[in-house]
Amino acid sequence: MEVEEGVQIDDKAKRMRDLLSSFYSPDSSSNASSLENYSSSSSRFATLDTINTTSFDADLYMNLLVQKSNLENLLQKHVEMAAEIKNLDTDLQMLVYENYNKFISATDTIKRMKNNIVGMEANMEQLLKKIMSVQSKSDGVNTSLFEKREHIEKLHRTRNLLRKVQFIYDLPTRLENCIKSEAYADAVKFYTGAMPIFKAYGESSFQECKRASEEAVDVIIKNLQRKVFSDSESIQARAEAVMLLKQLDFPVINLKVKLFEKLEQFLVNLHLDELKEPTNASADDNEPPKEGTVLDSASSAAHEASIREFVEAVRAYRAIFLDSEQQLLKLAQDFVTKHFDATRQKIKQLRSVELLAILRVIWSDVLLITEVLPEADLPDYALQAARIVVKDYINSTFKQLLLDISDALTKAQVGQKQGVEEYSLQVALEASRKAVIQGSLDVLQNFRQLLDENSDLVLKLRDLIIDWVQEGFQNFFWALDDHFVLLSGKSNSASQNLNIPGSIAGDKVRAGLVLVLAQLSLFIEQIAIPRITEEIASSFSGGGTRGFEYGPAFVPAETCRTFRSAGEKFLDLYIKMRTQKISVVLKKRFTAPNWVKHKEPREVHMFVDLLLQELEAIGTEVKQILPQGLHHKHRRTDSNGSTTSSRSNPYDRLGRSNTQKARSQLLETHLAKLFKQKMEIFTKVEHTQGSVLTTIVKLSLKSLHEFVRLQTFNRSGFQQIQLDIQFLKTALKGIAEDEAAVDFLLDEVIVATAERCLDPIPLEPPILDKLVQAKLAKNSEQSPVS
Amino acid sequence: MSIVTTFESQCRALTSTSSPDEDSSRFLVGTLSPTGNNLLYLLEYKDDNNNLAKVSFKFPFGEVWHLSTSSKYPNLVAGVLGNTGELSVALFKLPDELANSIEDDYGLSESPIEQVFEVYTGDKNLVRLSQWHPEDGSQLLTCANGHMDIWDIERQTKAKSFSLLGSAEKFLDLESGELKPSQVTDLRWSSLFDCSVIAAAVGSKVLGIDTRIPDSSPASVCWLIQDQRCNKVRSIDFNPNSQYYIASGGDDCRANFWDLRKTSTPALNLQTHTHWIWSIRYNPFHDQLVLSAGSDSRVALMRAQSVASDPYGQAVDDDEDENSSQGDDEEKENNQQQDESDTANGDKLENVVGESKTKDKNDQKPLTNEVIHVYQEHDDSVYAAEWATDPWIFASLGLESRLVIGRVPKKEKFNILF
Repeated sequence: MEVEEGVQIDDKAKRMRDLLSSFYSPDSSSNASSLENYSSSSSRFATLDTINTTSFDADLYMNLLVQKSNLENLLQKHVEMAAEIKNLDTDLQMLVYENYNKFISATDTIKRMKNNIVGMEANMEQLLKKIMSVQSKSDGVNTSLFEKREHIEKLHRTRNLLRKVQFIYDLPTRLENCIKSEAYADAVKFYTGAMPIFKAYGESSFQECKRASEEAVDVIIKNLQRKVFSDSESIQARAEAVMLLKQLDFPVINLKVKLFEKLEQFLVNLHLDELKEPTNASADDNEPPKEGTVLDSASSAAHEASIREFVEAVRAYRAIFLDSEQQLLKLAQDFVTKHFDATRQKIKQLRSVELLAILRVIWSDVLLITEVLPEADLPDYALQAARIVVKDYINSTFKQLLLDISDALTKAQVGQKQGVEEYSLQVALEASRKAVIQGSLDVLQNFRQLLDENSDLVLKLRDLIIDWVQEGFQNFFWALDDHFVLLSGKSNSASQNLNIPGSIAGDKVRAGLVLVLAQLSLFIEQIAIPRITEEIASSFSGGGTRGFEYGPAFVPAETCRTFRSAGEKFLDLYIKMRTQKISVVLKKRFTAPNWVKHKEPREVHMFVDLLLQELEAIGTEVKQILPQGLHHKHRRTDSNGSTTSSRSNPYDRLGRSNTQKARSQLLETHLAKLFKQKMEIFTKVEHTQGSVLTTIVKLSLKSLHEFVRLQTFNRSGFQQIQLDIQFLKTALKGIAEDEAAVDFLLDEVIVATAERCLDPIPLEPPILDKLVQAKLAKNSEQSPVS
Repeated sequence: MSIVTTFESQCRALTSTSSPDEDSSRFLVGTLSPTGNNLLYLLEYKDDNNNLAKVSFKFPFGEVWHLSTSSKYPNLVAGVLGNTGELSVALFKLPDELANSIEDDYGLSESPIEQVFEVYTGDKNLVRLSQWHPEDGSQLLTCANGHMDIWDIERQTKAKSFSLLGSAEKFLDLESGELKPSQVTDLRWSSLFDCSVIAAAVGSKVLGIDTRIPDSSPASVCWLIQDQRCNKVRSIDFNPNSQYYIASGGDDCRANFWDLRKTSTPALNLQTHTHWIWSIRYNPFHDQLVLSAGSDSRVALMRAQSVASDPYGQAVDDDEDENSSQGDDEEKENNQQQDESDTANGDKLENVVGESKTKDKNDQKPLTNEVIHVYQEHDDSVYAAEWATDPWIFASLGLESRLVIGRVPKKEKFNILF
């Protein structure tokens, strides 16, 4: 029910709307037709809604209503419908009343209009008449005045022409006057005003005038040109002059070029000044410092003055030629580039103070120029250039340092070659040590000055400089390492090539050099690098423009490692070179004689002397350079006890084995070896005198051992070796440190000889002693003589 | 791990010889006793039961400095002998019973060793070496008095001889005159170049000599290596698979690898010893493995990857494995084969394969040059170390008369195989 009620209310509103619209819009036919269509098509299924359409069929509606509703509903519908009809009636009435009202007011208005319009036509006719009379009168006036006006106009034109002619005739004198009063601007104005006339009639009527004025203008041009070039004139005046010249169609470009050339010339002069500066600076070193600084300041003042001049000139130029910026920019950049080029050329002789001075000068120049030419971006440009220069400077400093060190090394070598100095290895070592540490510290000191400088230019580069210094040190140490290897390699190959007799001295020196290198590497690792690291940490920390991924530029730990291994390598190389030389001596000894037919030993063979000589030479070399080593004494006393017991072994063994078979002797040797503590022959080498010497002795004895094993001996050969070794035993006591190992090796040599002997019967100890004593006596006899 | 056996007197001569049984490796050792009573030992090592059998024979011909065998005649042995300082080369025939594998320790065998013929008699200047032709087993090379002699075994005559004194002298004269060409320390006959190149180590130099020249002419030197750092080169060996590389060892205690195209400096050197190197040998199958032995009583096994015949093979293989399944298939096949043949080791093998696979994924970098292992099981100088016919087994002989059988570490082996 409620729903239906809602529908009904809606229906009502809709009907109201439709009624109104049909009233206001007369063209409701289309709407009606569509509704008609709708109703005809749906007549069969008509609903109660059709009451609002035009094709409303009351019977159909009634039927439908009766069919669909019950009585109660019908009654209700009836009531509703009666109310609706009543409503519609009142609405209709209201509408009719309103429209009627409007109609009445419209009729009233029309009536009023009719009354007002009656008197207007007469007035209009009167007005027309008056206007006609005014027009005729004005025509009369016009015709009466026409002639006079014509005449006046003609006169006026003639007068103008005459004035112009007068002007042309007056032009030369006027120009003269202008020249006299230097009113060039007026002159130019006059002349350009007269130009069209001269162009039209210059050849005929005004020939003379033209010539005269052209002469005057020539004078003007000259004057103007002079004015442009004279520096004493104010900039505006010069600019004006240029403008005037331009108006006179004078080729200004030439002027511009000339002026520009002048600027360039100016710069060249400046650079001449620049080049003088270093000579001043270098003179500083010789002269007392005070005077030097005076000189310096004087020259820098002069320089500043000239730069100011240049700046003024540039400013003027710029004002004069407005479109000249590109050129000027280029000029300014050229200026900076040249400046830095000049600096770079001198960079090798510069110290950082001087470099700083130069940089400062450049920077002030740059700032001055920037005032005039802000577009040139000179500070940036200068920064770039300065960066390169500073980097170059740092690199060249390191290169110089490297050179110094290698000089220190090689000079000593040369000196020693001539045999001038006995302790030259030591000298070389000291010199090169000093070169390394002092040089590096000096370099650092130098660079620190760079950092201390607080000029803008350097401040901006500060981080970069720190990085470069660190990087520089890293690269320097790599390079040093490479250089060392090169030196040692060279020396080695040279020693091979110079193996011809007589060059033994040279060979020795080179081995010494290797030893020096070994020690120097150690020194760098243990002292120089920590020291430098400290210095760097104290004043060159920071930086960090280098990305983090690269890590710090200077890696002391790694560098230390490199040099440690280099030191070991050189020491090994030294030992190898020395032992190889000794093994040549030994080889000569063992390959030359026929050991199977050896004669009975009468004395200790002289190869022992050669061997000892070599060892002595090594000893002196080693003593010059290497530290003594702390445990030297201790080891010796320690080993003494153990050797006495082991030393007696082979003799007993050999003595007893006299009568035994070789086989059982071998077995015994094995047993002896088993019980004897296994000797560490090839121990790690240390950087001490004792260690190096002992290693060399051990390696040489091992080589001797191997040589023995390649031969076959008869009894006398065996006895000879036994004798030689016996002598060596006493002789080597003083040289080698690890006595136990040396004794062991010497015993091994004797055992090996016995093993390779066809008839191993040793010499009787008394005879052995006697021969050794004889040799010792002979040596002691010789030594005071030599 | 390693198997050790000892002999009754000092020994320097060791050679690897072919074995009738494929699973075992044979070595020959000769004793060095100047006073006589020398013996020749034949050792047979069986990998599957880790057993080393030893037979000894009386050898009345003198002390043995060097032995060499040829694969063509398994029971012929060339030996360099010493008799009271006189050296000679002779050819010997081993007893026929050695054609069968040795079951157990026979001890001293009564079967005699027969001398076939004496190749070169009594000379002090004989180089203590003899070399078989690498392919044609009927030629034997000796060197004495500065002459290289090639012997025809079948006819028992000298086939060819050429002198080092003539042509090589001018290379050698650079040395201060004390080095004579007679002091050749090592000879090798390359199996490449159609077996036409012999390398001879003389002092600090290694000479390459062309054998195709006519008889009794001066030796033609085709290349020369000058070792700046070494007084004396004591051992050389050709890379068996690559014609450009040669290894040398000597008094500078380093193993040097030379590229014959650039002989000024070694292509690679490895510091392996603290005293002289007496023997350096390429593995005949996997030439990145090199064995060296020295008088510091050490034996070193090295990997010389960068101068191997296939220096970056490992890396390439890895790539292939990743890109194509072929490699994997092969690997599986290998696995299966291994599994079939040796089920006991199957688990272990798989583990290792897994390891190598993960390794492939983790790092692609090729294997580096390095010393794989240093064996310090000898008490005295080691003069000889030889690879067995099995590529993973080697033997080293110390003067203390101890022979040690060594094996390439498993990890290394799998690195090479996979």
